[in-house]
Order: sequence, then structure tokens, then C-alpha cells
Amino acid sequence: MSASTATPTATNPPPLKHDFTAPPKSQFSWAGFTERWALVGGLAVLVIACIIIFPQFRTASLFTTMVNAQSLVLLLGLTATVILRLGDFDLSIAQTMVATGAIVAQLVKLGVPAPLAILAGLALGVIVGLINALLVVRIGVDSFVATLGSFTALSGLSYLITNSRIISGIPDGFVDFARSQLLGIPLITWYAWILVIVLWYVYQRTPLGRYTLFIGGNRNAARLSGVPVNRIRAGAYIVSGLLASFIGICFIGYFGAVDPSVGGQYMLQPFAAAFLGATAISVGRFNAFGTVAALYLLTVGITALQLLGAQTWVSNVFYGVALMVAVTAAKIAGSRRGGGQAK
Amino acid sequence: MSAPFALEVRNLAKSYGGSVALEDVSLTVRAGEVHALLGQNGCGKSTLVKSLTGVVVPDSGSVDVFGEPLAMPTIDPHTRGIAVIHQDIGLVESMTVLENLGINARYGTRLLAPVNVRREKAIYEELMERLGVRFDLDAEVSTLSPAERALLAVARAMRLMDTESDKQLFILDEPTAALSKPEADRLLVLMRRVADLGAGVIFVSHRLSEVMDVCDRATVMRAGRDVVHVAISDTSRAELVAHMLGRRMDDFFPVPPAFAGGPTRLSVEGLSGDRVSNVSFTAHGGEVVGVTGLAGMGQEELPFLLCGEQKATAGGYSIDGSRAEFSTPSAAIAAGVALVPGNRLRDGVWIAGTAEENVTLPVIGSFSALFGIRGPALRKRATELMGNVQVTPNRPDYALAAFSGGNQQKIVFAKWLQLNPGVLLLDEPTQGVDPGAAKALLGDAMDAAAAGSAVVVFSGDHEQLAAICHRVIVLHHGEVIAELTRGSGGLTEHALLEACEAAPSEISAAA
Repeated sequence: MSASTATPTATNPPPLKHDFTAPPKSQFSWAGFTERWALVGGLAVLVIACIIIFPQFRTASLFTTMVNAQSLVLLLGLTATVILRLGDFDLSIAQTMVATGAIVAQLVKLGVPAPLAILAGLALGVIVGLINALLVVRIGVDSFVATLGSFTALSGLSYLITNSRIISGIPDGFVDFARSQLLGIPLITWYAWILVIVLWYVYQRTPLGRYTLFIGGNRNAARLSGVPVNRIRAGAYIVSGLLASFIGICFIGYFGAVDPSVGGQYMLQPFAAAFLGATAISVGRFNAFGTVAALYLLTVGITALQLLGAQTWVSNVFYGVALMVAVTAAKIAGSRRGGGQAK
Repeated sequence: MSAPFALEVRNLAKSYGGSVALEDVSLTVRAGEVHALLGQNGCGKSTLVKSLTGVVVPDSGSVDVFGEPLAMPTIDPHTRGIAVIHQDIGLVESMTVLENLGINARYGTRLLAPVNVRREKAIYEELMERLGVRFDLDAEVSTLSPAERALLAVARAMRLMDTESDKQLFILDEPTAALSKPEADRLLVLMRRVADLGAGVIFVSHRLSEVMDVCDRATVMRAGRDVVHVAISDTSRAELVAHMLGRRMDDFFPVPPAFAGGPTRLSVEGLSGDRVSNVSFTAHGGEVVGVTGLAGMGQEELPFLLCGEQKATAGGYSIDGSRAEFSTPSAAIAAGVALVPGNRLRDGVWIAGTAEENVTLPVIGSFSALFGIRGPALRKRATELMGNVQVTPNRPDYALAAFSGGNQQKIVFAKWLQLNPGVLLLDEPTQGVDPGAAKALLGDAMDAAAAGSAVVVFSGDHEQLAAICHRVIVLHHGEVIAELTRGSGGLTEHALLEACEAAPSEISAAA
């Protein structure tokens, strides 16, 4: 065992000085680029492949049909990201949508003026948001459990309001609100796209967007850095509830009827889109454009499978498998990145 | 020195992509020896330890444990007698001591077979007897002090290996980082005893005084290489640091700025909380005040009381002469109070976020314009801030996790120093940070004091406090029992230690 005790001396040159004034050079990284745009690229490839294989894909009407059919799920998926960014869940949004639809439809049927009925519906959304916020933010219940509770309670409430029947005969005004066309595209699709832009702006371009990410990343550090964590979290639940009840108003117009049993169908698809979307564009973060790309990828894939003769059950299988693949890919990418740094 | 080798590492190398973490590292540890593994953050120590435990697969090289080759990647290191005790000890707080002890020995039984509690207890009683520690086996771990938890982790590892053979290699990865001096001493005594029983012990620490006290030999690593192997009796602390840094560093601490009175910036009057009771002190602009005490004596709670995170049960405090009633940290920050938290991962950073997102968080609002955040201006600010505290690499776009511990802490400092806080609260500011980075961090704090901030340092590191503070307040069971002032030799590491350990009655209200 050689015990070298030769010591470097004080005359050693000082450590290299960094030029701190120069802005860091952004290095282009293929890996990062691929990660960001893999989902969008996959969507493009899939669309082109479908156009080549299926004659049906060569018509604009198929595209508008696909896009329109998914607008409700897109709206819900975007709403889901509001709470997901904070590191929490709001599972109740789909059922808030149905319950709002039920209340508005039932009130209108009973002769209440439409504006009042709409106000009552939106009020329901705010109340659900307040209750979720009270449980999760104030009392500290786990958000998954708390909102699963409100989801279940609201589903019961929807049956109560509708008397367990499908309410049809929704007034034309509601139908027009969702389905009348602008530039050949129904309004509900426009609402979803507007929401994409609004959320993109808030998430990507404002301090609030960064605060929400920081709260999701480390709530303690955010609070100790002066971010009003609880106010933002409570506000987010109210926004989430309000958006869900707005979607409920679109929902009755879109279908022209309210089926109280439909909430379950809309529970998980939005989350699949949101989680899948978090693997694209702003990788590892719930983001608006990623959610859009993810949902359209799922839609095109399912449509293609159905054109090949698959049954309707294929959509659930496809959603589920896509979600598993997406989170697995994200996990592997994350551990690869984390492992790349010696500590 | 004819003891067999407990561990022989030969020419171990590991690189991640282009960056080299280990480059031809060799190292031997004898049975019966406490071997210090030293080096700055990011020098490759952790990669070496992870190679031994199978977390990392080395690219080349070989390892022998007690003369037998260790297959790479290592599977089930404990079957080869290797146990690692991390700083983050991995105990479940809501379970009892016995339940925690048994977990890695599978409770001495099969998955669905009943646990023989009496036999389990007997095994641990005997084990603790041998180690010279005592625990109530039925106590919940949440009631134990940090030091007791560390001791518990050692005992737990002992059981596992005990049943296999007496060829044991313990790796203690900064086990004392969160402990006060007397607590750390208990652990070091235990560590020594384990070695004397015939095990090889690798001790990873930034606390060189402990290394000098308790270790037999040391290996210093720098930039992925083993730069020197030396017997502790043949070296000095300054020399070890010189090897770690690659240059000489004669002073481990900066000198506090000259202080001859300043405006009162923080005045605490009879403040009480869960642990703190009736604490009063003041801190002036330009002054560096230390707060210390044994673990659990209240110096961990005080910073949270002062920054608005936790509510006081009685008393209060004022900032710059106006009474402070902060309901949230944001109110405290607006009044000029900044806290660098002691637990960086829990309270200080968003580890997956970028350096820019972390460092600009408190000021992000001022970069908001009509069409959103002004990205280039924000990037420029982040680069400046990180440059001011010499973060390397100065890459605001990197995730925080990509920086070493010392650089992460520099980023946290930069985040708060940009606000020019009137009161800067530093909770264990250099815990787990290598000496070079520690000196730079403390230098930044001294600069803040020189610029007129009142700097309050909460720490169990008495040597550090004695070096950088103008005054140090000692807490015991939440109460101030002593106040030591710089000058005329009144503020030394030794004096602080005595003050901490003495019961209040024995202290003659030193002022």
C-alpha cells in the first residue's frame, strides 16, 4: 500500500474561470428532439399511412367527423391537466359534466329560463370544486380518494335529478351552442381549441403556469418560496369544476339528450390523453398541445382499427394499451436521464 | 497490519455517455479498519459505492470481498456481507423498532409463517448488548432522535450479516451529516466498535474532524480518480483537503465582516412554538448570528417560526422595527425575510425542474409581459445569478438533479440573495457540501452581511459557527441558555460544545 503524501502546492494554477457573461449555448440534442416530437411524428406517420391505405381517409369529412367526435374528450382532457399539473387528481370532472347537464336539462324542462338553468349548472361546478378543495387542500385528504368520492356521489345525484331516465328534447338553443358550424366546424370543437390556446398561454407563458408546475414538483419548496400554494390549489379545483360544468352545457347540446349513466365512459379517456400528452412537446409535464396531439393520435388509431373491421371495444383496449406504453416510455426515458449524471 | 483485506477494488472504471464518473479506481480496505472515503461532491464516491451494491454496473475492473471475487453487477450484496447505511436511513416512522429491525432479515421466517416475536427480541437484545446500545424494541421509530435512528440502522445491518458469516463490510454514507456533535460521536463509537469486532468499515463523510478522530486510513478521490491513499496518522486535515481540492486551502471558513453595531433588523421577543419556548434575541444589519443546540432542542424549528411557515404559540418578533405577523411565507418574503431551508430536497428545490425555473421562482412575476414571460431576459437573469455564485456548469436549462449537491445549494443561495433580504436565515447551510463549495457559500453569506443583511445561521456544526459568527445563541429544550460573543476567545468550538451539553443550571448566564 503506497502511501503517497505529496501535496499539491499553493502555486498550482487557479481553477479554470468560467465566462459567466456569455449566455449558455443551446446545444441541439437529437435525443431531446426525438423525445419532444416522437408523438407528433407518430401522429403524422399514422395519418399518412391511413391516407395511403384507406380511401375513406382521403375525404375531409372523415377528419372533421373524427375531430368533432373527440371534442368532449379533448375538453375533459385539457381540464384534467389543470389539477394534474399540481400533482393532484380531479377524477370528478366527467361526472360533474353529466350532473351539470342533468340539472340544466331538467330545469329547462321544468320551464326555468335557460340563462337561469345555465347559472345553476355552473354553480354546481363551482360547488363541486369548492368541496374538492375543502377536502384536498384544507383537510388534506388524498386527492385521488376525495375526487373518486365526489365522482361517485355526483353519479348518484345525476340519477336522482333525471329520475334515472334519459332526458331528451333539449331546446334548440343548447344544440346550436354546441353544434352550429363556423367555417364548417362545430362550435364545440372551436371551444376545445380555444381552451388549448388559453391553457398553453397560462402554462407556458405566465408565472402562474410555472407556479403550478413548481407546486406539482415540490409543494414545500414552492410555499417556502412565497408561492400562495393553497390559494392556487383551491383556485384550480374551482376552475376545474367550472370548466367541467361548462363542458356539461356543451354536452347536452352535443347529444341533444342527457343519459345519466354516461359518466363512467368519460372518466378515464381524458386522463389517458393527458398522461400520454405529458410525454410530448414539454416532456414530463402536463401540457395543452401534448394533450391535443395525444388525443388525435388515439382517435386516428382507433378509427383506422375500426375501418379494418374491429368492434367498438377496440377503443378501450387501444386507450389502455397506449396509456401503458406512454407511461412506460416516459419512465424509461426518465430513469435514463437520471442515471446519466454521476453524483 | 497483517489483517486480511475486507475489500479490494482494482482498476474500476465507469462512464456515463461521455462523462467519466470513475477512471481506474483502486482501493483496499482491511478487516478491522475504519477507512475514510473522501472527496468533493461529484468526485465519484457515490458511483464507487453504488458499484459495490449493484446499483451501478462498472464498465471494467474487478472487486474482491474478503479475498473472493464479487460478480458484477452485484446481486444481493448483503449475501456477500456488504451493508450500506445511507444518510437517508430508510426506517418506517410509524412502525416499532423491532418491526424496523426485522425487515431486511425477513423477520427470521417465511412469507406466511408466523413471526416468533420472542426469538426476534432475544436476537436483538443480544446484538445490542454486543454493540453497547440500548433501544426499547417496542417504541415507535418516530420517537427516536436522528442519532438513535442511525444507530438503529447499523444494528439492523448487523443482524442480517450476523447470520451469514463474520466477514462483513459496512459502508456508511455520510451517516453523521444530520447529527449534532455528541450524537455523531455516539455513532462513531459504534462504528469503531463494529470495526474492532473484525469488520471492514468504509466511512464517507465531509466532516474531516470526525475522519481525523476515528479513521485508520483514508482514500481521497478527485474527478473520478483515487488521488491518494494515506494513513491518518501520517497526514493532516489541511493536507487531505488539499488532495480533495487539488490545491491548498488553508482556511476552511471565510472571515465575518467587521461589525461595530448596526440597525436592529430582527428582534425576537419571547417567541414560543412546539419546541421553542420563550426565545428572545436580536440580529443587526451586518451581523452574523449563530443559533445552535443539540438535535431536537429547537434550533430546527426556529427558522420555520421566523419565516411564516409555522405559527408561534406565544410571543412574536419584529423585522426592521415593525411587528411581524406573517401568516404565510410569502408575507415574510415581502418583509425581507429569506430562508435557505436545511432539508434541500424536501423544502428547497424542485429537483426535476430546471435550474432557471428554480433560481428565478421568487422573481418570475417581474418577468411577465403582455404576451407572457420574457424568455430571453429570464434566461439572462438566471445565467447572471448562477454566475454570481459560481455554479458549474452554468447551464440554467439543465434539470436541477444534474447538478452536484454543492451546486444545488449554490442555486438555492442565488435564488434568495437576489432579493437582498434584510434578514437571511440559513438552516444548516453547508450540510453535505464539500469544503470548497462550503467556503464559497459561507463567503456569499458574509458578503450579504457586509451589504447590510442580518444573517442568522442555524447549525449543529460548532466549528463553523465559531468561525463565521459574531455571536452564537445556544438553545436547550427550546430555551436560550447561553449567548457567546466573538472576541477575547469567548467564541470557540469547544466553548459552544460545552454550552450545548451543559444543563441550564450549570450555565452562569454567559453573555
